[in-house]
Amino acid sequence: MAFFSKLTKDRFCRFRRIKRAWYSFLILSALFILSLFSELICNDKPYVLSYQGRLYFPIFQFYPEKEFGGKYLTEADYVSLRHSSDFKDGENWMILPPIPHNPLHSYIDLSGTPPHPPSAKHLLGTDSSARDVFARLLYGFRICMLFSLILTAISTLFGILIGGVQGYFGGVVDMIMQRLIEIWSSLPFLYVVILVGTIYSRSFMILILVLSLFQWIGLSYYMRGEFLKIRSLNYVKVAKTMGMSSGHILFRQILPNGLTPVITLLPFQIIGGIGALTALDFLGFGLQPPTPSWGELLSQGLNHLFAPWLAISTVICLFTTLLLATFIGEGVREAFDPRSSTD
Amino acid sequence: MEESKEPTIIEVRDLQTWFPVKTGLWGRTNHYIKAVDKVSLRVNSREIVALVGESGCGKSTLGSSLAGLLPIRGGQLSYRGMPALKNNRFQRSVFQNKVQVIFQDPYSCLNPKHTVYEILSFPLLYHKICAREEVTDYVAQLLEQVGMSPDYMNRYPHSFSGGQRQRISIARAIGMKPELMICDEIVSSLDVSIQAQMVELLLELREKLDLSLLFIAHDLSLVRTLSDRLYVMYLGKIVESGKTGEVLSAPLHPYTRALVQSVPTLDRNRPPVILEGEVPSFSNMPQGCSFQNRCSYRSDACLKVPGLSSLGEREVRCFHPVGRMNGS
Amino acid sequence: MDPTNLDEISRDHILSVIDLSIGIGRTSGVLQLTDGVSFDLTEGQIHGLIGESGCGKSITSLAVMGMLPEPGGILLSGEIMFRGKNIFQMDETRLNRLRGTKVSMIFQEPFAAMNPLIRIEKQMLEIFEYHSVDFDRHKKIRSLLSEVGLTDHGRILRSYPHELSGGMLQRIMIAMSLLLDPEVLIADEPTTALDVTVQAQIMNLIVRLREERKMSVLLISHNIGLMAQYADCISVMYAGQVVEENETEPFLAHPSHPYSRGLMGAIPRLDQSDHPIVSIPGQVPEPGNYPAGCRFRKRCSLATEQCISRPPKKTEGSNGSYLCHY
Repeated sequence: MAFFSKLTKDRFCRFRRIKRAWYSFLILSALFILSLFSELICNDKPYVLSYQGRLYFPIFQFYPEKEFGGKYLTEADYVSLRHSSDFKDGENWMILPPIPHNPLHSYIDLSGTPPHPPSAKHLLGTDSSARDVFARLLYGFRICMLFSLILTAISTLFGILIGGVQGYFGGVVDMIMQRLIEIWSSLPFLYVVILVGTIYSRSFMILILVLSLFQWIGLSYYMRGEFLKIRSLNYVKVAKTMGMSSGHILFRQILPNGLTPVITLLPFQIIGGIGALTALDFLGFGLQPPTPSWGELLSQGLNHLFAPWLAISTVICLFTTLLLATFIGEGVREAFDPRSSTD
Repeated sequence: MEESKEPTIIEVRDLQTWFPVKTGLWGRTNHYIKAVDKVSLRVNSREIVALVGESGCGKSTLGSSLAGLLPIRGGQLSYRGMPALKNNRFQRSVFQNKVQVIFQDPYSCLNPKHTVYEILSFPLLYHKICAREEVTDYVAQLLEQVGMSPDYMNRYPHSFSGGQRQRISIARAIGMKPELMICDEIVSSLDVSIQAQMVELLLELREKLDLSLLFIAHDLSLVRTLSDRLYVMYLGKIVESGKTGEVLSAPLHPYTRALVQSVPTLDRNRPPVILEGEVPSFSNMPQGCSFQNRCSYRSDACLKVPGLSSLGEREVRCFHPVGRMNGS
Repeated sequence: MDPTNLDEISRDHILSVIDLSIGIGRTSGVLQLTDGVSFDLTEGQIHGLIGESGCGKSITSLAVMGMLPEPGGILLSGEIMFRGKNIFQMDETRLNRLRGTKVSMIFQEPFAAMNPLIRIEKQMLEIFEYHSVDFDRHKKIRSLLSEVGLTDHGRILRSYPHELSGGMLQRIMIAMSLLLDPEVLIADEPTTALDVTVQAQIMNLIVRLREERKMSVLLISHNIGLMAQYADCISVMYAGQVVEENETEPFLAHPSHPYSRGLMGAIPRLDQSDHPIVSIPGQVPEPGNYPAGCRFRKRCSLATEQCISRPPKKTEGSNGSYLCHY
């Protein structure tokens, strides 16, 4: 099959041989997959709960307060339930996830003023609204990565499409599109984000939409170059002389060969996405509070420098993630370097 | 000389492929590079016709123009008598895939992401040359015809040598059941012993498939063994043509003579004769005959552009050819 | 060539390649690229090294400059003696002095050998940066340009490589290689990228320079016609070995090794119209995949049992030397 040619397998093997990149890839992927199950790792709802002889699974199902002797039909508050005398008296038990905290729950009844320093109960302390920092970091990681991956996917698609069209047709089409892209890229994307965010709500999807309007530009330059280069290669000329259609030439001849910059740029696009979201959140123009986010934690850290655990833990997380992604990016670039092929 | 009874596959009359040179602030076309300047040639059925010249003479441009890859400025092009140019636009459908092209560089002629099977089968299926069920057999047959094992079908181009890749290109071309193949310097980048193999293959294919070839090359010795007729190009014009043996053993045009004499032969008693000077660039061609700066027979008459004088099958573009044309 | 002259100087091998075996280190082991290559170059001689791609001629030519293939090139055995001193035993400084002042090289693609962003004059002056000289550099450059047949010094020195033709660039490269008056010139396929008329001019130039400067030339090419016309003696290489060596005229009259004979039969002749070319079947084996015994046997019409079991020894005769049982 064309996409998994021997050449691709060779490059993959070369990538694996670069230990630093391969392990970074494994670690980052593992952490990301882990974070997808955040609810199972870090939650104030128990996995399983036995109350008055019946088994409940609060993480997976919604139970109203009334089930456990409350008054209302809103979701039960398992934290207070745990401490309630009613629960403790009977033969009731609950099994909690390893980190029994919710990123959105404010532990206002803790002694002292938030942010609270790290303790046995809160490994990394709490933030300025008394929410557990570890939980916020974990959920924030997930949001960060998901945002970045989706953003990268959309902008890659646009980049390939637009750059490809430019490179394939060349001439006037390319020139006009290039001028349009230049005008578009001169728009200050931060203002656009702020504007759009103010007019419409600052939701996950809206942010992705707005950012993806700008993110594809970089890739399109590369794709344009690749397509222009490949277009003049002999096998494309031969396909033309054999009367193959433009569609065939574009999709089956040129495209499979033009995807190299996509793969080499991918890790750096992901880094860019993480950075963009974090920066927006830091400035307060990103995701709506109380969504857990690293940028927001950073800004809290800045405002509460006397509570260093906020800033330090976030910075370390950010640094590690970006470092791992950079190693992966370097490894990919080296593996795909045509000059270092030893055959 | 009796006229050839074979029908003409492709005929070119006064073909012009000019490249505009844009200068000035507004990109106005200052002058043209006349890479192909009123070239006429003909390839008959089952003939191998060679087009020779040195680098920059326009032979590859001519080959690419006949393949429809370059815009043609003027002239006539016909396939079996049917005109293939309409308002100077190349009408590929007239040829019905009967004219195929093979290029020089074996390393860029095959898509590195496709297997040999895919490379050969795409055009077959697209143009419905054979039915889907028969494709694999047909591809195997094509590979055998060019002397390669059908087991190679599932391999990728990078595992093949230059000579083998050229064979795959040839297989791709003959799969379309062509009548004429334009070979643009296809053996120039191969080793000597492989070149010999390719020549044998081409001659075999000519016999088996009734194929004709337009063989573009710069190696005169190779052309001698392979081709029936020969055209010599210099700076965009045909300067001599005729039967290969006659042209190369008794060249009429001073340039052809110089070319023949420059080739190092195995006879140490005949060292190559030096032709001084260099090919002038297209932008500052001399007034009149384009070869006059290097010609030892030059006279004042050469300040005018010489026409093509012909006798039978021989043609020469010179005011004083160095031999006499044999009438018969 | 004046026979008496040749006798006098032939005792004196200016360059001797003795039993040279070079390999390249790969993750799977050492791949041997040349095997026992030997030939000699005497003063004022043009020695032709002929072979097709993969025969090891370029690797040998680089080795003469003391350069092994990168990465991982290893000298497995053998020596290269330049005026009696082993090149591989020289330290960096002496090697650097060797290159340029004693042994110089020109390559196939003149355009690729030059920096496209630097003017010709500067590139030529660069040669002097590593070798201190006591003459006027600019004068030397100009005189060399004249020697190679270029008269428009000013324009050429001011130009960039892409502004000049292939023939002119090759002449400039020859001039550059002669700036330090070397005794040996290695010409690796110097005319392959050039037109046949320009080829004649350049080869003529090389022969003239050889005569004027008493320079020795190692001419590497795959073109037998070139060898026939310009080389004094020929070594034929195949699959990393020298399979035949002889003086040119006897070689052309009676090639001994089947491969040489195959080559002669496979090349088209301009002067003989009814000479059908007979190709050599098969392909050159890859390094590491050489057949046991004689490396040419799979393509040889004379191959027998002997050729499989025993690698052929060098047969010396009045007809030069060759590597075959027959």
